[in-house]
Amino acid sequence: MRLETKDPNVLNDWLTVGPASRLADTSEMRPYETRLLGLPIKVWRTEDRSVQATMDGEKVAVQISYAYIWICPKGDPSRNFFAFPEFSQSGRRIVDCDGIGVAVSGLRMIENFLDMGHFPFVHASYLGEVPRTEVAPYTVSIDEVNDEIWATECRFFQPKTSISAKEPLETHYKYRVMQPFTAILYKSAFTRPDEMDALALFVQPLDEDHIIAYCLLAYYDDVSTDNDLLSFQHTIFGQDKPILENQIPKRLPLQQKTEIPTKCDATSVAYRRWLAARNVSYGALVA
Amino acid sequence: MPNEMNDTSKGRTQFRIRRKWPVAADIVGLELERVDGAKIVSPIAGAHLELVLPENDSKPIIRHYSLCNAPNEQETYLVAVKREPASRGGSSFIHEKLKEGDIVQASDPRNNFPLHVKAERHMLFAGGIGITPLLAMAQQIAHDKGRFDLYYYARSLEHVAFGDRLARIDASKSVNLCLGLSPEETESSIQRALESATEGTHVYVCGPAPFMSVVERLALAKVGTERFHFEHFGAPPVKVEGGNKAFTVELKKSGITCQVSPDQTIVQALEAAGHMVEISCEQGVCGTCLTRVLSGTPEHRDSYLNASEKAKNNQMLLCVSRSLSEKLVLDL
Repeated sequence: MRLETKDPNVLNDWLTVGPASRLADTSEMRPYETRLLGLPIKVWRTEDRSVQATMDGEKVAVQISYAYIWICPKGDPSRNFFAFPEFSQSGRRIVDCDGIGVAVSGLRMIENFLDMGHFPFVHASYLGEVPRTEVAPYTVSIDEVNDEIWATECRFFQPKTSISAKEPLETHYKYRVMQPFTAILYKSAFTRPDEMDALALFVQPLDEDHIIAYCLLAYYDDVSTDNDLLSFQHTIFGQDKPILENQIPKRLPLQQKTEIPTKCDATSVAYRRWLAARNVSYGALVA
Repeated sequence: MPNEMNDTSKGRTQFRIRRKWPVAADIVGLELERVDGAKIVSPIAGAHLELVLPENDSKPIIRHYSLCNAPNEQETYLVAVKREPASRGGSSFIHEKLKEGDIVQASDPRNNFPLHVKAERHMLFAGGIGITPLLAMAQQIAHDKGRFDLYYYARSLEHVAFGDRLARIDASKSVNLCLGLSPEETESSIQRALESATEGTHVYVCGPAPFMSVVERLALAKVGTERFHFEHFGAPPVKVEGGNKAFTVELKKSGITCQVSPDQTIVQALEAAGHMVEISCEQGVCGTCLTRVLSGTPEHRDSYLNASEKAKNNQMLLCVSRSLSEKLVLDL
C-alpha cells in the first residue's frame, strides 16, 4: 500500500468509509468505491452476504457497525471499537443523514462539533441567538477505562434546537469523543424532556485536508418526518461548511500557544491535549 | 504589537475627561467629551463603552464601563467607576492617576443589555456599582413614561451613587433603596419584590456575581429565561464561595519567596516580586503558565488539567489556582 502516513492512530483503528446502505447491489465486479487516507477503497458484499474491502488493491479488515462501514487499514485495532448503546435502544429512531464533503482536516471538524461558542453566530435562530452568547461553565473529564473524553453539564439557550422544537429551550448537552474522528452529542429531546437524543458524527478522512462528515441520529422524535430531520441537519452542517473551509491552517495545531483558547473552549483544550498525548499527526500540525 | 493608544482601526475615538468627581464612597463619575468637538453617538440605555486608558509603561489598559446617560444627555458620555480592592489596574488607575483634561480612547457604545420595548413593566435589580446600566434604563423608562421599579442594594447611603438622578426619576416612587442588608435579608427582599411580577414584567440585573446568582435563581423561577436579562461587569470570579487564604510561594531556581494575599493571584504576587510569568488566557484554560510543583499541595481551579493530573499535585496553573498548604515550592 502506498500509505503516506505512519500515524498508528489512523492505521490501527476503525475509520468509517460511509453508510452501509452504499453496499446495496454491490459485488466484487461492481464495488462501492471511495477514498480513505489518500488511497482508493473498494467495498462490496459477497454472495454469502459477508463484506469485503480493499485499500489500494490490498485486502483490509472491514466491519459493519451502527449501519456504517468501518475499515482498519493495518488490520490490528489497538483498542476495542467504541460502544454506541443508544443505537439499539428501544424507543429511539435511527435516521441516517448521510454525509457532506468538507475541505478541512477531520480534527477541525470534530473540534467544531464540540464547540458551543459559535452557536449564536454561525447557527443564529437555530442553535443560539445574539446577545445570549454566554457559554456557562461545564465539566470536562476523561473516561480512563474507555479512553474517551466527556463534556457534561453543558447548557445553552437555543431558539430552535431541533426540527421538532416549537419554542426556545435551554438545551442540555453532553459531548463524548470516542476516537480522533468520531464523537457523539447528547442533547435534551424536545419531545421527551427527560431523555437525551443522540447525534453521532463519523468523519471519513479522504486525505489530511478533505473529509466527508456523516451524521447519524438516534432520536426520540416521533413527530418529524425523515426528510425534516435530514433537512435540519443539512442546514446546520451547511452553515458550518464555509466556516470550516476558511479556517487557516486547515490542519489542527496541537502545539501550545498556536491558537489561544478561552474558558468556553475547555472541551477543545481537552481534545487537543488528548490527541497530543496519543501522538496523533494525521490532520494535525505538530511541532 | 500594535500601539493600542493610536489604533483608530478598531473604531476608537479620542476623548477628553471633562469632569471627574466623587459620586459615592469609592466611586468616581467621569464625563467624557470628544476631542474634536463632535457630537457623541447617542447611547441606548444598557450600553457600555470600551475605554483604552494610557499607562505609564506604555502598556494600555482596556476596560468596559456601562453608560449612565439619560436620554437627553448627548454632549458627553457619563460613566461611574468603583475602586476595586482587587483591581487589575483599571479602577486604581482611574481613581489615582486619571485627571480632568487627560485624553483616553473610547469605542462607540455597544449594547448587550437592551431594554425590552414590549415589556409592560421593568423590574431593575442593582447590586452596588451594578447600578450604572440600570440607572440609564430607569432614566429612559421614566422619560418614555413607562413603568419600572428599581431595587438598588448598597451598603449604606454613602455608597449610593447618583442620588440626584435617582431623586429626579422617583416621581412615582419607583426607586427602592435597600441599604445595609445581610445576604439573607437581601435574598428575602428580592423574593418579596418579585412576588409582584406579572405576565408582562421583564427582570434585569447587574451587580457582583453572588448577588446576580441570587436574582437569577429567584427570577428564573418567577419569569423564566425569556424575561430575565443580565449583565456581568468584569470577568466573573472563577470561584465565588469561600474566602481565599494567603500563602507563601517559593521559587526554587530563582530563589524568590513571596506572600500571595487573598486578593492576588500567584502570577500577580510573583510579578510584584519581580518574577514575570509567561501567561496568556488568565482563565486557567490555555496551559501557558503550567508549572511544576516541587512541594506543597495546590488547590486546582483550572479547567486545563484533567482529574488524574490534578490528583498528582505535581503541576499547576499559576493564573487561577491557589494553595491548600501554607507554602508551595515551584520549579521556577
